[in-house]
This record gives sequence, C-alpha cells and structure tokens, in this order.
Amino acid sequence: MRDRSHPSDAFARVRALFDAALEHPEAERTRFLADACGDDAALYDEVSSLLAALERHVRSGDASVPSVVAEQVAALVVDRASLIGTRIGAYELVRLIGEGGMGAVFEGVRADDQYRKRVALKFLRRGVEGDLAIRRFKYERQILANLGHANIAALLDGGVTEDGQPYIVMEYVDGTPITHYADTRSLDVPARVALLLQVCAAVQHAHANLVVHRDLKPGNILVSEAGQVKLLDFGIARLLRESEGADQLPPTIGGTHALTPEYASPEQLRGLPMGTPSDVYSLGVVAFELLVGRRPFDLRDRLLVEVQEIVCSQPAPAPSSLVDVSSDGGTRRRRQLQGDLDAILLQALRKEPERRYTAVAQLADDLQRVLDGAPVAARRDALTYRVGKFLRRRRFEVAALSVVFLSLLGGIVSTSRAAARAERDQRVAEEANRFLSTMLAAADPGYQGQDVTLRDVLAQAAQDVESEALSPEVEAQVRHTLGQTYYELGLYDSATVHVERAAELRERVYGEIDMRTSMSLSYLAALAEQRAEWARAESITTRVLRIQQSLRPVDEGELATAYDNAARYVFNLGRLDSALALQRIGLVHRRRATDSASLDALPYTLINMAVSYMNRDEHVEAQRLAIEALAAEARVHGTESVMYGSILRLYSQIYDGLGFPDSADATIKASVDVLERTVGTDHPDYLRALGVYAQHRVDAKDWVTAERVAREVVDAIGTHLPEGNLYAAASLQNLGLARAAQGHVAEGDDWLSRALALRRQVLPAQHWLIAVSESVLGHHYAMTDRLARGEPLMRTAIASLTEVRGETAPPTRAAAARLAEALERHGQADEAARWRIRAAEDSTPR
Amino acid sequence: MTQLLQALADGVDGASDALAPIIYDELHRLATALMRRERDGHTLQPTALVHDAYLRLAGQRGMEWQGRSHFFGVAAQAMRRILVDHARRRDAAKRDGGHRVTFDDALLADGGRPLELIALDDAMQRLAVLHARSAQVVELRFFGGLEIDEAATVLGIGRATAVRDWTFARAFLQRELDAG
Repeated sequence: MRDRSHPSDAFARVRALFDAALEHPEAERTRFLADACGDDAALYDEVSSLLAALERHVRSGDASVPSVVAEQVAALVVDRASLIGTRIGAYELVRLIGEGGMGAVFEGVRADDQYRKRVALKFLRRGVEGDLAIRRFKYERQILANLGHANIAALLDGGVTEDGQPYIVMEYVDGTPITHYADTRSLDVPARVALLLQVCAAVQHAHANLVVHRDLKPGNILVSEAGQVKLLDFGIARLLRESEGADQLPPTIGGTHALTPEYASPEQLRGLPMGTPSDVYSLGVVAFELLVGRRPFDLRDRLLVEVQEIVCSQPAPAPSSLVDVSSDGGTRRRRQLQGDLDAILLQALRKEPERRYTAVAQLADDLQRVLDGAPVAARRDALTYRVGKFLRRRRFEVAALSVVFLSLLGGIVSTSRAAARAERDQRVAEEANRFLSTMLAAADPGYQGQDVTLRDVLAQAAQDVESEALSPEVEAQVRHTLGQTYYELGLYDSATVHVERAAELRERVYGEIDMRTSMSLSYLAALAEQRAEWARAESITTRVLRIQQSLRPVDEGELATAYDNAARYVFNLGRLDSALALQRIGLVHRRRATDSASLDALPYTLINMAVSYMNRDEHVEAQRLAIEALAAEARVHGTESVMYGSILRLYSQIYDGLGFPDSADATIKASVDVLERTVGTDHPDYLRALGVYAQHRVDAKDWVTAERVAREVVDAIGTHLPEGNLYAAASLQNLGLARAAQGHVAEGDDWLSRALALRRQVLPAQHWLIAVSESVLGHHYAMTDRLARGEPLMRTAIASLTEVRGETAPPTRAAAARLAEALERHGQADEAARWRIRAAEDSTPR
Repeated sequence: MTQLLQALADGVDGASDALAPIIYDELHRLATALMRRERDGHTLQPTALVHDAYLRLAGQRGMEWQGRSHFFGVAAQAMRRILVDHARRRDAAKRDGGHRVTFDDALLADGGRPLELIALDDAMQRLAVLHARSAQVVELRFFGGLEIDEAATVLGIGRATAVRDWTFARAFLQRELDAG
C-alpha cells in the first residue's frame, strides 16, 4: 500500500504539471494551471512559484548561476600565487619554484632565523584519504628526518597546515641535474662513474635505514658547482602515495601517480611491491643515461600499457651498443663501456628484482673496481646467472603439508632483513659464494637448466665440501646454502643432512644465541615439518624461540616468525588453544616489526590466527582477521598471489562457518581460479583449494560435482600431492562419501577406510582428525545397514573428540549428529534424541 | 589510463570510481598550474579546465564520443567537489577572522562568491533528492561545461527530456537561491 502523500508522488504531480504548463503559451499558463489543480491550492502554489522563478532566471539572461561557478574557478586559480609572502610554520614563502606531479614547491626562508636560511617547501597534493594518511605521513616524515647524509638533501621539517595540507621543508639545493652537469662540463667516463659512486653512497645509506627512494631520476639527483651530489625527495614518493591514500587504490592507478615511467622498474610499473632492488634498477637507468647519453628504452609518446610491456619484457640493450659513434669521442666511449660497464649496467637492469645487485653496495663496489681497473663481480655473476635463482634464498617457504581443510597456511622460515644481513657475514659469504661459483662454473657446460642437472651439480658440491678444507664458518655457510637449495627442490633428506651439519657448525662457532645458528635451526624445523615430524619441529622451534627472545637487539619480525612457526607445529599436534596463545603473542611482535620484509608476512600471521578462531567456532573474530589479511596481502603482493588465493580459500571456509554457503561457494571458486592462474593445476596449494571446493559440494550434497572435484585431488596423490599429505586424506574421504551417496557402497568403504588409515599413519594417536574419520566411516557403515560395525566406531570417536576438543566443539557436535542420524535410521528414537540434543548444544565462545 | 577510459566507455563497473581521483587530481593540478600564467582578465571557464584535463588524460589517441562523454560526467562531479570544497574552506577561513595564520588566510585576498556557490551546491543536493536526473543535467552543464545534447548522451536520455530537466532544474534552483 503506497501512501498517497508520498513525496515522490507529490513531486511527480508537480513536475508533470510544470512540464505541461510550459507546453502552453505564457499567457495561458495561469489558466491552464488553475484548471488542472482544481481545489488543490498547495499544488497550484508550488507549480506557479516554479514558473515565476523560471521567468526571473530567463530575465537575468541565464547568467547568474554559471557566473558564480566561473568566479569560483578563477578564485581557486589565483590562490596559490597569493601565498607568496605568507608564513607556513616558521617559514616565509619567497618564490614559487615549480609545480610538478608532486604538488607546488616554494622557496622559503626561515623567518625566525637571523641567517634567513633558504629552504624548499613542498606541498604534497591533497589526498583522497583523510586523517589516517596524515598520521602516517607524520610518522614517515620522522624516519626521513633521521636520514642524515652529505649526499642527501636534508628533510628539515614538515607538518600539516591547519586546513589539512601536508607539507615538507627540505634543504634548499642549488645545483643542476646530474646528466646536465656532466654534459655541460664534457666529463669523461671515469668522472661520470665517480659521480655515480656519490649517488650510490647516498642510496646505500638510505637503504641501510630501510628507506627506499622510489623515484630516482636525474631531476632528483642534483650536482652543485663544487661537484657534490645531492639527492632530493628521498622517500617522498612513498609519503606522497600514502598521503594520497594511493595504497588503497588498485595498483594500476596507484602506480600512475608517483612514478616517472622512464626510470621506473618493472615491478613498479606493474604496481607490485617495491624494495631496494627497485632503486637499483632506477639507478641503472640513470647510469645508462649518464654514460651513454640515452636511456635503455625509448619510451617517448608511449602509452603506459606499452611502457609496461617494453620495460617488463624487452631485455635492455648493452649500453655500449647504443653509443652514438658518430659523436665526438663516440668510438672511444663505446670501447670504454664494452665489457665491465656493460655487464654492470645490465645486471642492475635485470627484470627480476632478485637477479639484480642485491645491494647498492655491490653496485658501488663494481663501479669502484672499474675505476681501479680490477675485475668486476657482474662479469663473474653472468656465469652463474642462469642457476643463481636456485641458490638465492626464498623468503617464504610454503609447506606442502597441511593437516585438514582448516589447517594453517604455512611455513615461513625467516622474514626479516636484519636476519638476512646477519647471515650474510661478508667474508664468510664471499668465500662461500666463491666456492659455490667455482663449483657451478665447473658444472656449467653440462647444465641444461633442468633439475636433474642441478641435482648433479649439488651432489658434486656436497662431495667437494667434504674434501675441501674449508673453515667451519664457510663450511656452515656452504652447507646452509646447499640445504636451502635441496629444500627448494623438495629433496628433503639431502637437505636435512646439510642443514643439520650447518646448524652444528654454527652453534659451535657462533654459540647458540646467534642469528645464524637460529636461521639454520629454522630450516631444520621446516624440514621436520615437511616430513610430518611435528614433535621434532616443535622442539627445534622452541629452541629458535628461545634464541630469538635472547638476542639483542630483539628482531621483532624474526621473533614473530618463530612464534608463528611454533604455533603451527603445536597446532598440527592438535593443541589448538596453545597455538592460539602463541599466535596472539606473535601478532603483537609482527605488528611491532618495522622491517618491510617482516610486514610482508603479516597476512600469514593474521590468516593463521583466523584459522585458530575458526577452529574454536569463533567465526566473527575469524572473519575480522581474514579481512585484514586479505587487505594486507593485496597491499603487499597484489590480488594475483598464491597467498591471496590461499587466504580466499580460508575465507570461503569462514563464510561456510558463518552459514553463508553461497558466499562460501563464490569465494572458493575465486580461490581456485587465482591459484590456477598463479601456480597451475599441479601445485599443492591449488589442490588444497580444490579439496575445499569438493568439501563444499559434499556439504551441499552435490555428489556429482563433489566426486569430480575430489577425484582430481585424489588423482594427484603420489604425483603432485605427497602420499603422506593429510590433505589427501580429506579428499579420499570426500570421494568415498560422494561414491557411497551415489550407491557405490563398496567403493565408499574402500575410500573412507583409506582416508582413516592415512590419518592414523601420519597423525599422533590422539589426534582429533582420526576421530573425525572414524566417525565418518562408522556413519557410512551404519547408513548402509551395518550398524553393529559402525556404532562402536562412532561412539569411540565421540568420546575421543569430547576429550580432545571438548563437548561443544563443532567436530564433536557433528559426530553426535552422525550417531543420532544412524540411530534414527535403525529405529532407536529415544537414544537418537539424546544425541540430537548434544549435537545442537551451541558452543559458547570464551 | 587509456585502459581505464576505455573501461569507462565500455561501461565497466567501477571504472568511474577508479577514475574519479585521477580526474580530481588532474583538474586540481591544471587549475593551480594556471596561476603561473599571466592573468589576462578572461574569466576562466570550468569547461576549459575539463577539456584540458580530458586532452591530457586521454592523450593523442582518439576516444569515441561515448567514452568522452562519460569522462565528462565524472569530471563534472570532480569539478563540483573541488569548487565546493574550496568555497567552504574560504568561507570557514573568513568566519574565523584573522586570529590564526593559516594556509587559508591567503585565500581571502581574492574575490569569488563562495557563499553563493555553497548555496547552489546545497540547492542542487535538494534537487537531487526530488529528481536526481535533473540535478545531474545541471552538474554536467555548470561544472562540466557540456551542451544540452552532450549532457543527454552522458545520461543516456533523449534531447527533449534533457531540455525539460534543464528547464525545470533552473526554475527550481532559481527559486531556492532567491529564497536564500
């Protein structure tokens, strides 16, 4: 029933009459309106007032309103110019220096200072985001203010004007862009390399303080008359992005804001997270331009998509090949670049961040060697380039082993940069690398880029490390590296041999309380996890935890990771409450960690905690954490990452737990899609998501789909899914349920028994998942008229679940419901009713 | 960028939301960049700014009219927000008197009629409650500088309908503004 006086109805009548009245000549409108309105005086008044207003508007020449708009635009435009002479904080604005993508830049002087110190004031463009961005801006500014270095323009001050405009005050630099400086003085190659060394020193210093420039280009690298290099805008690109709230925008958009495409790294153009390697790349472009006279790629008049395509896929040409030999001294310059400088620049310009110089210091070392006439590392590196990626440590090790659907994601061996640094003890690392490089070089002719050959290479190295008389430190480093490589290849037995030895040696040389010892132990724990030796994994991790707690200064990220790992092992042993307690502490440390590599791990910590809450039936809390995890992951690695796909999988299960089967379905499909795109259909993570999909289909009693999907997982057992993988057990069970439901009882018996046997084989005897399998198998027997065989299994299962998980835990209640259903089927209504009540008892979150 | 504009032209969901901040930035940048030019006594039209922004963002590649008109739809909205926010700040600064030295004090130097613009914006909001499409026509005409045919294309309505909306909107706004 609609209210007759509904405003939109009333309006519709007004509007209809207004339009109709205008169809009549002006003289007749009043008459028409009076007739049409009858005795509705209000309607008459309303429409005639509008007609009168229209007349006034037309008489005024339609002009008054648009002119207000125009004047406002004009006022907006003149604003900034009139800022000259005003004071912002302690500074008086003297002159507008420029207006760039970053916002307005003014020259200012410190008004309360007798020396009238010159400064540059930058007003950052106002963001679409509010207070949060400004708070972050203040925090970041503090970090930048501490970056004192002779080659970095100092950040002196900054703040937010009272109308919310963020600004920063920087040292005023009187200089010219580096390329311009060198060209006007016709500097030779060595002099240009010397300038680059100054640039490297500045960037290196900032990186050591965990500040990434993100927008290195000649315009930000000024050289004074005296030849001193000054870098501008360190970290400002990041501040800018954040003050704009651009981090919340999809990468394609955020990416277009604060970057200069000509100098942007491939990862930057793709909108991926940028670390120090991104600066190395930009430095490479600047060096290229400085030494060659042009940039590696001609990107003029290209659209951003084209730029992306070129920078991300075309290999950079050798610098010497682009030298204009017809120019003055061109031939000589080409000769000077050929060889060393070509190799150095090309290494800096590699597409994959991890294959560039890992630190600016190494780039600087090589440039210095060019000046000294010493052999450069880049040329040696070219030899090991193809296999190098296998030897570099991966930050995250995603374990192939997982307990059930609701198992933790996991296995992060180590996260923090400080730990990586500690491990990279220069002398030891150098010797170890020399050993490994020699070995790789020796094996190079036979290397075909296949695992088999790499395996041979590693086997050779393993032999050599026995016979070579290496110092314990170096041997430990070599073995640790070999162990990591074996680990990545999935050769866990060989990996264990080497990592165990590395851990022993390190403990002997450095003592137990040492980051290096801890790193080897972490790998050992990860290896134990891969072999499903959770008790061993737990005891090793307890040691790692103790080491991390004792190390000074505390490495928050590494400590958080130790807690994460300990929680996962404890969880896998079935001690869920202890796991959650450990995770809570871990999250506190994780949030405290400022190391960007450690922050990358935040999604892991969050989602694993969400899983713990899920297992306690606290879905709302789980959902809150999962949402934060998704947001964090999207920010760090984007939405096309394995992790994102895996979080989606868990999120789907949360939806399921919250009672939204449709959302759960849509989410698991999204997860499967993301994982198929990112890791392919052979990967355990993909299979895991598929397993969850099968589970949802089982819950929906969609037996046909359930069977098809579960079978895909089961078919992978023994090939892409290790046989001991518990995840396989869940899919065996689902396949059994699907077959049985379609009338294939004997097949159901077979699959369900195999699932139970597998769980008994790999889990500790008291594990609740064994009980779940017993309950499912018992239920299957009972529902296929074998109550005598099924009932004891179901009752044992309930007793075991009650003891281990508690009476009201979801799996216990599900087991009670199964028993009730079986008893109902066999006419034992009273007994069934008792179990029904137990099944319905809600758990009360503590 | 071009992909986004194309998405906008194709009516992809969310394309306007994604574009709005970019257009907003670009308009703001253009407006402030103009201060370096000599003031030649011409009254600056929002149309000029919006067209300028469009040319910059879309680059040399021709966009079909459909995409262009959608762009103007988003731009008109952004322009309205820029101007109204600005007017409100000016007004707030004026009301505060000269006690504080703020960024906004500088804004007092020049004219403009911030209060009238704020009143217009308020009236447009009231109009939007009654009849959203009429308010959109006004937004496109005033803040996007579109002709009536262009506005009709953006909104996907016939020319006659657009004319009726435009006439009604002007009557409504004039009455509201006169009532003060």
